[in-house]
Amino acid sequence: MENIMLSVKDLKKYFNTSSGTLHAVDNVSFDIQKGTTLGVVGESGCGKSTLGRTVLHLLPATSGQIVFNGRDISKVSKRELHELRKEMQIIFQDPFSSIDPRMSVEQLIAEPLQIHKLARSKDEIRKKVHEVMDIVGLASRLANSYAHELDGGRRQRIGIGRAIILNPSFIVCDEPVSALDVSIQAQILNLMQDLQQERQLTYIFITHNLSVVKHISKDIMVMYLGCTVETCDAKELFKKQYHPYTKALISAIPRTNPDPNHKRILLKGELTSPIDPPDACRFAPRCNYACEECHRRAPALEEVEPGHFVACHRVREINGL
Amino acid sequence: MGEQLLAINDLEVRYVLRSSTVEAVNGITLHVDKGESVGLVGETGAGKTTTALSIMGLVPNPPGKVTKGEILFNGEDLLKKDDKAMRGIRGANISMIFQDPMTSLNPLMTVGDQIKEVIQLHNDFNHEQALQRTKEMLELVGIPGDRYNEYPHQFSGGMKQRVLIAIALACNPKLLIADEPTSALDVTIQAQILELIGQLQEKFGMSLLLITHDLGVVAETCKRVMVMYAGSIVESGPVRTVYDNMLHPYTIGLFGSLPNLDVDTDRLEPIKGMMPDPTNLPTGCAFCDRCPNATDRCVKERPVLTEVEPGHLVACFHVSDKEG
Amino acid sequence: MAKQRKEYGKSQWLMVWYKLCENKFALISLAIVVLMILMAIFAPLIAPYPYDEQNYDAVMVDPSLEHPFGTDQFGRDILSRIIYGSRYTIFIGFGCMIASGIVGVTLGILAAYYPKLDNPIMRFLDVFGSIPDMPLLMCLILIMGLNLRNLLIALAIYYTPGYARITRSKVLSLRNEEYVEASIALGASDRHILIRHILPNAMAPIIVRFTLSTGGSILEAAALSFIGLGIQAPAPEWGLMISQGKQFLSSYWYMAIIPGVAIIILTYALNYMGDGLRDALDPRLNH
Repeated sequence: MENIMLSVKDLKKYFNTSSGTLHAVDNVSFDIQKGTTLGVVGESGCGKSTLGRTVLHLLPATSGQIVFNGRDISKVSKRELHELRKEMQIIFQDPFSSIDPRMSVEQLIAEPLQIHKLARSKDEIRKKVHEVMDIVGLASRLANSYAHELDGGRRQRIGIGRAIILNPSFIVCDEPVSALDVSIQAQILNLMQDLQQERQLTYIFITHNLSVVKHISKDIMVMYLGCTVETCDAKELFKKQYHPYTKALISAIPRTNPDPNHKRILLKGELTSPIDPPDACRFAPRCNYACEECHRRAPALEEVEPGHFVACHRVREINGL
Repeated sequence: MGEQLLAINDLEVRYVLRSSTVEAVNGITLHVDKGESVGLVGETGAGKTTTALSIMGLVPNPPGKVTKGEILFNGEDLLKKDDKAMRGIRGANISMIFQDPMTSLNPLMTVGDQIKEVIQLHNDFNHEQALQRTKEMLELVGIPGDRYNEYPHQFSGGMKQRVLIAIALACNPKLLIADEPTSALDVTIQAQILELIGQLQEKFGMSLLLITHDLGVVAETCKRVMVMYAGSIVESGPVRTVYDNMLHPYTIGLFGSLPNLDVDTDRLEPIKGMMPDPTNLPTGCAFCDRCPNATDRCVKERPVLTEVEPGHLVACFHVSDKEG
Repeated sequence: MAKQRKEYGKSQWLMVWYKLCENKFALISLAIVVLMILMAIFAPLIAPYPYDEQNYDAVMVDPSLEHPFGTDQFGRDILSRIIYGSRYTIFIGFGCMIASGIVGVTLGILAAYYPKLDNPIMRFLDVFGSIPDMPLLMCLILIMGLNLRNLLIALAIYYTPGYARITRSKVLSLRNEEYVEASIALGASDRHILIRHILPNAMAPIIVRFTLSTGGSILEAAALSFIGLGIQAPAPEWGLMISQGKQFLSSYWYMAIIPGVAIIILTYALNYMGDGLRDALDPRLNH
């Protein structure tokens, strides 16, 4: 399709550990349309961050295909990758550790320009840096300040500035607001939405925060232990969830207006090990509906409703479809 | 209104640093009734944790110092007690669970021994009795008793938080202070832990002071809520009353910042600006810089908590305008 | 202070300087070290006599206005010899540290960046690290021959493994920092990352080690001179002066004690400076 920015097929990322092969991302496939946001949700250890990094070639993929803007980038040379970096960027979760403490705001935002030799003179760099600072809402009097002098919200603005100064078309946002306070989080989310509209940016928005992901995404993909369990339109997902894990996840969100009749679905146990998992549904050990088949064979994603994909053997049974 | 278990009157805590003084808590007054669950909500630096530490008598001194006020627990002022008396109260009458379950346990001791230690500290139990009680506590928080001899690294984050709850509840405290007990945990695990805290609170009839930044967690767990901003309580009252009729502009801003699950909004309405510097708070209302309705009076004068409807207190000069 | 902190644009190094200034001992130590360096540079201008001028009319005279620290057995002015001697001490101390620092840091970076080189480099350096200092230094000097240059080389060899180890571990941990990953995501080359991010952030522990082991190397050099394997007479090296003075210890103690005190003051100052720097550079002590 013309309009697809990024298409990922059967992406796998395994790590070799001393106790076996860790399946961080297992057979994940998705497409993202230009100018939209794909929200990737899941709890810690579900492989969502690894997925983002593998797509960006920050981690080498074990196997699978990544097509970016119509071009297969699964295998690229060092030089091609260097050029590609201008197009694909990342915003990190922790605005404290993702910024070099010894550099000033101006130096930090100028760094991408220097790496790609995109400015001819110091004045040109300064001009561009101040433009970007203005766009991300950093007052120019802060140009010479250092990260340790700034609060989390401003630090995250630096991170966003560094990401957009190269004019990328695609940004992986790895929990960009999780470390921030609610009121600051809203400011940053608005900034990211504005940038997306102005520049037709495509986002992968990785988070564990379901209300944030619903707010910002067009489509949502729910991950559990390296696998996609459910994916569909964001608004749709919050109306009807078909996978038992998604149901539990959404019912677990503490609400400001709890329904007294609403009964939280409590999952039993905790995440099982992602090391050498058996060929079975990864969620089966915690699932209230697990049957024999679930322990014997991994379910594939199937389209249960137009655009709504679920990986569960008993999806039709459970939901009466 | 029930009987007051904890009553804090006009508490003021300062951290005196070499070059400046942090005004961490600025004259807060609150109470927790017997068997009641109260939520203390606010963002980073609002003074929530300092308040909790003052109750426990654990404000690091220096640089911290309680400069004013009293903390009455069962009618006795905790601030007047000496270290020894406080040690007897901590863990036995008032317990606290901390945010980070990863670092709150000693990695070199088995979890069982860590629970047993507290039990023996406050009770005259022999080895057998203490062991028995420890196993009961583990089962109570949903951990099989035979995991007694395991070390913290063998437990996941949620399990560690359960162990910490077991430690906190080992001596049947009357008041449990939970400081962001679930912030480091995943949502599904958070649901388990909140459920557990709720059940245990009911079972033992203890009071709960829940400190969190999550408005949803409070709504699901507490009866009453207090919203803190820059060391002061700006709004307090029964959860439903406050949530359905927010009156302080900060509370309204907090809700505006929160993406809503039930209503689709295209844009959030955040509070502009940032928290004021706690070493240099404005003389007037601490929120005046960020407030859409601030007037000259707000800049000059600090508003006090005033009851606007039964049980619902707000510290803002402009409430009556809105109410009117 | 409060006002200064409100302004934006204070680099971390400037903050370190402010913090160092708050530590009186470190500041005094820094002043002493700077004075000693100035003394070494301007020795001919400051010293009242040439260091080798013998005056047989004034042999082993007690301190007086003419000879503030007295004279030695050849009638040479001890103060002048101390002033000139600082040239050796400072030269050896800093020369050895710069040489071992450059070699050690380079080896450390290579070991951290190229896993293939890691084991060969580090195990080779371990050999030097496992021999006690004096026997190692004595062997090296005896093999290479006795002179100032070889003394410097021997000391540099002795101090290299320490720098290599500290650099390697620091670089390894910094490579896992998120801001390094952020830079990779921007398309930065290894070289860029090393120069812009890793080295500046690895400097703190290296600088602390620099000041602390400069004091050590000065002591080692003095000890080697004392046993006759360092600087040779008639040079006014402090260790050598102690050695020469030791035979007169009971009758005329100035000869041995004064250079001894000079060594103590300089190494103390260097160590205090190192301690102060370590505290100032430790971000955990920031607030």
